[in-house]
Amino acid sequence: MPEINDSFNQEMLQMMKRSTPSEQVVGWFFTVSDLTESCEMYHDYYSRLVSDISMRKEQPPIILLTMDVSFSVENQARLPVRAYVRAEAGIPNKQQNHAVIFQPLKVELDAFPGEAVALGVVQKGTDAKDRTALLDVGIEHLEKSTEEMINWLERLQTYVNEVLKQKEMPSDSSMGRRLMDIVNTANTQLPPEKLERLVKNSLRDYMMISYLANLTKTQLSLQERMLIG
Amino acid sequence: MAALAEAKVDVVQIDSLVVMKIVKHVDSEFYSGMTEVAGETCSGILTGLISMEEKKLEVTNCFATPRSESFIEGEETNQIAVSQVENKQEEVMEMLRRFRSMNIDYELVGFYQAHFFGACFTHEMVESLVDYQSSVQDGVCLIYDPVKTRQGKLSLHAYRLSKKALDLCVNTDWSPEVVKQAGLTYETMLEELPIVIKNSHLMNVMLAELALTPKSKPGIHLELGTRRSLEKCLRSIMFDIDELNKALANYNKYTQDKQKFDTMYNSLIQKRQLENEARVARGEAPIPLEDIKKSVKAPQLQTKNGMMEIFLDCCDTSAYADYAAEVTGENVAKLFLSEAFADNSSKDRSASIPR
Repeated sequence: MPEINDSFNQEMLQMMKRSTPSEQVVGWFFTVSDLTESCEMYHDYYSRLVSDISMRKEQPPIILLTMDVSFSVENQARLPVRAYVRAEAGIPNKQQNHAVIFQPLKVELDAFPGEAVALGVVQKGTDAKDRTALLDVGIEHLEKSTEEMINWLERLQTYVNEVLKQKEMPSDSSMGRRLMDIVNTANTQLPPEKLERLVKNSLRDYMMISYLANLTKTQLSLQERMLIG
Repeated sequence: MAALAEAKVDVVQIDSLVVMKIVKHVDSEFYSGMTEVAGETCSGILTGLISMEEKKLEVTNCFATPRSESFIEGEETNQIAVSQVENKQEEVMEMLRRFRSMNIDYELVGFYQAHFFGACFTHEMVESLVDYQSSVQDGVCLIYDPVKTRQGKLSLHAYRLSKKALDLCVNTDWSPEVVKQAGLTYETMLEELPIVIKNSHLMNVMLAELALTPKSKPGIHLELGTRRSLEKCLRSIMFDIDELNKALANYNKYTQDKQKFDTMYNSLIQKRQLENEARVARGEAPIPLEDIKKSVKAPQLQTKNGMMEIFLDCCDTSAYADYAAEVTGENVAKLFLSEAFADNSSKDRSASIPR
């Protein structure tokens, strides 16, 4: 059974605490397809590590995350990531529990708002042949989303037209209800007068800011010519 | 001192792991409100390798560096500062050694920093760049802007000092004459390199998996409410421009003083020479010219580091102005889009309605 380098872990822990003080250790990961006996010992070691640094009296539960990098299970379409929490088990009404079970947990992926954006950019690389992606420049990003929106609106339109052509209402009215919701919120939250006011005021503010920004840049470039020449 | 070799890479290729790590580090600090501790922003070190044939710098991993703990005002502040700097360097070397034992690329290729609105140009950054570029000729500095990313567009830029700027820095001489001779402006001081993001195959699998889960808010960049950050940006522009004006006033005064000094010096020298000729004609020894130089003092530009302060301020202001211009452009476009949704809106833009 391979050993864990304790001093290495301690040093990394210290480093992490100093560089990102807002983060804490919550578990450990192992790249294996199925749990083995050594997992139990490693889990023990890591829970001891976590309880050493945490300030509370009782041990916080830590997670074991496994990812099967060899993709050994066949015909699986999803990424083999699993999470476990350790629990004691045994025959009820006996004093000591003689077994330990790793209970599987549901795995969900979440992200900070900034991370979600970065993820979107990185995901574009999945389609490219050499798996690369460039960063967006200027207004291209907005262009693409506008195109997407136009697509969605067109699909909605064809759907609505089809429903209107049929003589009876469709059996599943959830779509219709959602459309009603959207139209209602648009009407109540953003009535035409409010929108008009918003547009006119903001437009002038933005024009001013844009003018000032361009003025700053022109002044800077002029100044450069004067300094050099 | 040996001449520094010129950097040869044209492109910076970043692994998506590095992008996510940087974003995660900065965002988690941003979220807990700790972006600036003791005056330093979140920063870290980049590792990777340099590929000469394809002329690109591959960044394959990175790690965060701890910032100095805010120390209490006391007697030993100087000693604490020095020991902290040494500790930091030691920690970086330790980390690199650990990377090597874990089979991760351990060659230091640069550093990353997080700054609001991308205005990162400070004296310390330039000094760090000089350090990195003198040891690794292709070192770069990655600047990440968390504010812009939150509004929907990943903002990551790679900078390095141009060769001329590097020479000047190494000689630590930024007086106006030397700068003029080198023909350096604030635009040519720092070069920006294009960035390409690359994924590994395993990453692709995970990204495909993520694409299957429903996204929470697909249209973050379509939101209109960016006013507060714009205000902050403008305030910083005003502050920078004030500084810039002060520096420019200094520079103008310096050039005027220098001109006066030059004419005065020249006239003195000429008088001396005439006298000397007269004396030689009479057969006496000529008076040496050196004591003139000693008696009159040349004027000096009143800032430390000479022109570099001005350049850095210019770069900062330019970054702020870029941010403001880009965001306003996008917001105007968004406004027009939302206008298209409402019918019966009059196209009269001349009057603004009071709120």
